[in-house]
Order: sequence, then structure tokens, then C-alpha cells
Amino acid sequence: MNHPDEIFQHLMAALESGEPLENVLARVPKDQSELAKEIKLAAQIRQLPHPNPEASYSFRSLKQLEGAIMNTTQHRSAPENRKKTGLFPAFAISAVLILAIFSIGIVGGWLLMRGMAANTAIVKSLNGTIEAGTMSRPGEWHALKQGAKIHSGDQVRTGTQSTAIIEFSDGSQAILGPQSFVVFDTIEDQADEINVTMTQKLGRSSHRVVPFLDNLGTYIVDTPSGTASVKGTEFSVDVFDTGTSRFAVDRGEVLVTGSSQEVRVSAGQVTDVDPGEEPESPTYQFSLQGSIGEKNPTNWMIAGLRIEISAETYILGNPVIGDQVYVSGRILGDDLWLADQIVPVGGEAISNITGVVEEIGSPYWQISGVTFLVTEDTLVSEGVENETPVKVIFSILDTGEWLALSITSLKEESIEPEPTATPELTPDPNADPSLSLVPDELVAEACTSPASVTGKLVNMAEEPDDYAAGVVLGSIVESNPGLVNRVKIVPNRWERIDPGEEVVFKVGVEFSPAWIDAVQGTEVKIQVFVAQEINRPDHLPGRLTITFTKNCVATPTPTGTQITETPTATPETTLTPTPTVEITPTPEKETTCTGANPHPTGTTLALRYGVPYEEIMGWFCQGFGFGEIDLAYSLSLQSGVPVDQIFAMKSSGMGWGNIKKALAPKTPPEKKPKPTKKK
Amino acid sequence: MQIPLSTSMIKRARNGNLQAIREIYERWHVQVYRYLLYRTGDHAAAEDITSEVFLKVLNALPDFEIKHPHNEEQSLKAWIFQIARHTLIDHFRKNDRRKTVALSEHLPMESAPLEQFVEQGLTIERLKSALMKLPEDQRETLILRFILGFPISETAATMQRSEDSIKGLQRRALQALRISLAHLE
Repeated sequence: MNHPDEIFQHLMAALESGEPLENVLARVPKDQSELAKEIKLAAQIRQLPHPNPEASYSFRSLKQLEGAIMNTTQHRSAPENRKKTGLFPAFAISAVLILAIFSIGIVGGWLLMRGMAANTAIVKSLNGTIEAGTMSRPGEWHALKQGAKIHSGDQVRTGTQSTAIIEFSDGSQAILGPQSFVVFDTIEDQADEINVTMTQKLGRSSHRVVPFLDNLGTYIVDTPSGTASVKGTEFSVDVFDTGTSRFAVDRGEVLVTGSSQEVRVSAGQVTDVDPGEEPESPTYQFSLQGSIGEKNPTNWMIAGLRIEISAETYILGNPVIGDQVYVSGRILGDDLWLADQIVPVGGEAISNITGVVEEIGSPYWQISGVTFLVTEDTLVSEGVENETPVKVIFSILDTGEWLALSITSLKEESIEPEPTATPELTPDPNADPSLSLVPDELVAEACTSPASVTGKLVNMAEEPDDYAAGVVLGSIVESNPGLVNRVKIVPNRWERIDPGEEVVFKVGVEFSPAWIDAVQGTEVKIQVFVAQEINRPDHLPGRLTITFTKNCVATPTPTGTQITETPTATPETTLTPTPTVEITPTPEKETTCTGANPHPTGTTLALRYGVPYEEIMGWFCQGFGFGEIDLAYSLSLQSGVPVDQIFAMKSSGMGWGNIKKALAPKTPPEKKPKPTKKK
Repeated sequence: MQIPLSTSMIKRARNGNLQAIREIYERWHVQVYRYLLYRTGDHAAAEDITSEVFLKVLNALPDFEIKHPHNEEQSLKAWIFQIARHTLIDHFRKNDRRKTVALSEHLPMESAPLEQFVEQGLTIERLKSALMKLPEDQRETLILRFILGFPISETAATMQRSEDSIKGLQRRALQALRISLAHLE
């Protein structure tokens, strides 16, 4: 290697691999001193802050490209056309530009009319270190705070033990777990729906997507190996260091795409996608708690069930035979249960699996190869039959039998587009519904935007024919409208509400920037009313008044075993539809009761239910098992009863079966025969 | 934190997957812009041509063939920069750009005075001006090697030359740049 070109390249390679310039220069042969000057100049060029394109340009250019992608996709579906058009023709670029300008005009005007800052998401809450950057400024990060806005092109990363809840304008949420990295490619409001696309490069995220009413919205989570697209559901995404992605669905259905093929993943199922591969066939999940009966190199006996252990199984600590553990994993086939994680726990053993009903017997049911004892106390949701996918919550009896506490159907909405045309409804003059907003007043405290409460609309009529049809809810901001950007009711229309039937809706409020500066105690009043009912349009019911009061003072948190809410065994008194009070229990001894920090199952549950990790671990440290915590939050979501009240019921001595029964929705009053038509 | 572009991502991009194409754009649009900026010396032109390059990439992706199966990302990167080169050549043709003159043929070669000029500190503006006076191949080599940080192999693949020729070219380019920088003073 005597040629100067070779020597130069050799020294440059050393510089490029990180060797200090001084060291490299010291190695320049004395008879080649000119090389030192060249190396110095090359080093100077490398260190200059070379310009970036303008951020606005990068965004515009990306939008232009996206427009072209849609165009090209259409061309690709018609190969004959593509051959004729050749390379992207100038007129197509012009068309994209014109379309983009036209779209900006329309969307801009629409946003102006709405008077809101659209196309953003908001950091609803965060724990730990959360940082944001933009794609056009790689390497530049700044800390995010609660209430910060996230725009298209922003990227967010979380530190260890850190989580963030990002909320979109329709109330949908993305919850980012520790050590995650997500790029928010697109955040757009479109009519009443959202278009959200994000790329999850690392870590874990969980998503609650408000169903799109008119199917115009999109919600896509892309990863290095697969893509999930949904129309309203709850699911989580893990991206592992290997590049493998795992998509797990809690509710609804998710379309997962790999290299080219796609699979539908239903509630309770999970699929893995390896880089460059197609999605695996979806499998069902389980999580159960029990004592270890055997420990073999490749499988453990837990709660009487043989569970396979793989090299990828995460095992916390070194649990021994007899220890209580919480294990979660996947059911890969008959008698093949694979553990993804095993962690030591305490508390009452409440477990759950998802699977398919194979046989309904009395008193035993067969679900995914497991026999469950089903008693008259088991709550079985409507429509459960053979072949129905279900979630079973169960406890293990001393006899070793698995007692089903509840069996819930997971049959939910399909992601197939719903018919967009509204069915033509004909008024029924004989129907005399009696709609009522219950209660007629709700009071809630809010600090950050958005905030939401849940209300009920009940058809109080008793006669079977007195159904309500074509019901639509509307809203108006009665006081301080300047503090509100928009109010959204989800759902806000029902084709039919039968006598005795009650429907639940969520009223979400996005406050304006002025809300941030509003003083404590400022109130915003919103009226919700029945804007349409076609059978008795002349007889619309009263209104629901919702008062949001600004309160940014931290809510007192229960500590230790102190629960301020009085436990009650009479659920009727706890079912008052007042807004859920956010309670963050503080662990008494954070480091002594959690084991690992963060605890993997605690993280999983925090993501699943969109609450801070500390809140989950607060309950855990009070002695509740992870299965119990999972069940309590699940019940809270279903019933609307605050989770602290559910834990209080448990602390009062009620069993989970009775709690679940007490929280179950009331069945409509029995329809009495109607001798003659009215009117 | 950037992770390698996976084979599946590239396959999905070829199949027209929106996210995959976005990923490609995000990954390389800044580098393409810088390449074009230093070659044209014109910020607006660099932005316009960058957009054009990625539209061409989008349209040609279905025909992209991975030449280095062990390093798909390098193949794709070299391919994108080849498109950038050709788009730039078209741009120059349309704009009837005058050819640059090889400075080494016209400047005095005394090395002593050059030192002080070069040592006075290199700025973006000085670099841009000095680069504009170099022959195209030298300028391109410097941009790819030292501004974008391409290794010899990627520079050679992008410029469709042998690695040995790039090794020689990069030195000659640096020598010419020193002269060009001195001449700016």
C-alpha cells in the first residue's frame, strides 16, 4: 500500500470510523505530507453544518408524494394504462399540485369555519421522559409536556419507565410504552373522522380507536415488518429488537399486512410478523395466575396446565415450585400453550383466556381445548354459541376445576366498509316513544383538552311498539363558547331504540387555546339534546346540561390500603353516571412491592387501559393481583363505574362473580302485551 | 436510532405501500437535497429537483432490482442517487448550463500561499462557491464522499465507476478544492 491514493483512503477510513484527526494525521508518512492537508480539508468538510431543506418544504413535498402514491396505485391496478403513461408524466404532477392546492383551500376554509386548530393530536398525559423531534431535523429532540401538540411529521420517543397518552381530535388514543419510538406520519381531521398514520419503529404501543361512523377515517400503525389498519378497535403493537412486530387485538378487528399478504386479526387474537415475511396465522391469547407445579427445561406446569417455555419467554426472577405466578402467552394449537412472560405475583388468582367455544354442555363447556365449569352464576353474554370467539374470565377452584366467572362474546364490528347510504326510515305513526336523557345534568372537572363524559339516552316507553326511530343527538355550547373548539358526540345517531332500551354516548369537548389561560373554576356549559326522532318529531325530550369546570389542581390520591370511597354492595347506588374521577394510587413502597421496575405486566395493563403505570402498580401494591386489576379495569370500562369503586366493592368482601353481576347492565323491562293500538 | 431498512420494507415500497415509500423519503430526502444543493448551488432548484427525484423514484420502484442481496439498503440508496444524478443532468440540459472549467488548468499552483487561505476557516458559503468551480466529477465525488459521508463503495456504485477510480478522484478533487478555496480570497 505505497500508492498515495491507497494511503489516503486508508487514513480516511480510520477517520470515518471515529479515530481522532490528530491520531490520523500522526500516521501520515513523512514523505507524503501533502496527504495531511487533504485529510484536514476532508475533515473540515465533514464537520460543517450542511444545510437542510426547509421544514415546510419537506412537509409539502411529502404531501405531494403521497398524492402521487395514490395516483400511482391506481395506475398499478391498471397495468395497461401504466405502460402507456411511462414515467410519471408532467400533467400528472400538475394534477397532483392542482389537487393539493384545491384540497388545501377546501380544508383550510373548513378549518376556518370550525375555528379550531386541526390536524394535531395532544399529549393527554405522560410519565417519565418523553421527547419529540421532526423528520426534517434528525437528531434534534426536545422534551414534551402535558398538553403539547403533535403534528404530522413529528416523532416521539419515550425513555425507560416512561409512557405517554397521545389523544386525537375524535378521542382516539395512542398510548406509547417505555423505550418506544413512533413517527406520526399523518394526523389529519377529515369531516368528523381522523386520518392517522404512524410508524412504530421500536417499543410498544396500545391503541383505542373510536369507531369511524362514516368509514372515511383511517388509523394505520406501520412497523418495519407489518402494518395494522383499523376502523375502530383496541389493539397493541410491539416492535422487538429483531424487527419482528406483534399485533394483539383486544376489541374489534385489525387488518395486518406483511410483505404482500394480509390477515384479519380478531378480538383476543395475536399475530407476529417477521421482517420480510408474511403475518403468522392469528392465535388466541391467554393470561392466567396459579402456582407452579413442575419446572422442566421446555415446559412448566402452572395451575395444572402444561405451558411451553421458549428462548424468547421473559421470566422475571427465579420463581420456584409452589410460587404464584402470572403467565401470559399464546395458544398455538391443541395442548400447545406458549408462555411469552412469567412473573411472580400475589393476590387472588383471576385469569382469562380468549378462544373459540367448541362445545356447550351442562355444567361444562369446552373452549379452545379447555374445560370450564359454567354455573348459573356465570355471566354469559348474548349470542354465545358454538364457534363463537369469546373471552373467559375464570378462577381456579381448589378442586383444580376452572370456574368461568364470565364468558363474553368477542364478535364485534367488521372492518369491512359499512354501507354508507343511510337507510330510508319511514315514520311509524303508531309508535309513541318516550326518550329521556339520563341524568339531565352532569358535572365534570377538566384541566387539559380534550375532556369527555358519558351520558345515556333511554326510551322509557313500555309498550313494545313504542320504539324510537332515526334518533340524532345535537349539542350547543351554552356558556363560554370561546373556550370550546368543538363538541363531538359518539355515537350521535341510532336507527332504532326499543322501549326499555338505553344507549350510551360519549360527549367529547375539545377546548380552545384560551382554555389554557382560563382561571381555576371557569365553567363551560354544553347542552345535549335530541335533535331528531321521526316517529314523534313534535315530542322531543328535555336536555342534558354538562358543566365542565376548570380544575388543574392535582386530585388527592389514595395511598396504601386507604380507600376513601365507601364500598357498597348495592350497585344501583354506584351506577350514577357521573364522570369518572381520575385517581392515581401511589404505591406505598414502590421498590419493595413491584419487583422489577418497571414491572412488565404493570406496563402491559397500563397500556391496555391507558392509565399511568404508577396507577396500576398502586393497586398491585395494595395487594390486588394482576388478574384482578385487569378484571377491575375491564369491568370499569364496560359499566362506566370508576375503577376505585370496583376495588372498594372487592375490599368490602364481595366476590368477583357478584361484582360482575352487580355491574351488569339492567335488562330492559319485560314488554307487556299491548291489547290495542293507541291513537 | 435509525434501523436498517428491511427487505420487507423495500418489497412493500415496490408494491406501492404508502408507509414504506414515506420511510424511503424520510430516510433520504435530506441527503438528496444536499447533493443537489451543492451540485447546483441553488437552494430553490435543489428543492424542486428533490421533489422530482422522489416522484421518479415512486414511479420506477416497481422496476427496482436489488443488486446487492446482502445489502438491499445500499442498493436502493445507490439507485436513488443515480436517479438524482440523471434528473440533475436533465435539469442542466434544459437550462443550458455552462460547463465548469477545471481550475487546476488555470490557477497558479504555488502551494505556500494556499495554506493560509485554506486555514482561514471553511464555511458553507465558501465551500459552495469553491465547489462550483470544480469539474462535475470532482465536485460529485467530494459531495458524496465528504458531505454525504458515502463510503467508497457507495460512491462508486452511485457514480457507476470503479472503487479505484474514486480513490484517485477524491484526492484530485480535494487538491483542486484547496486551490479553488484559495482562489476565492
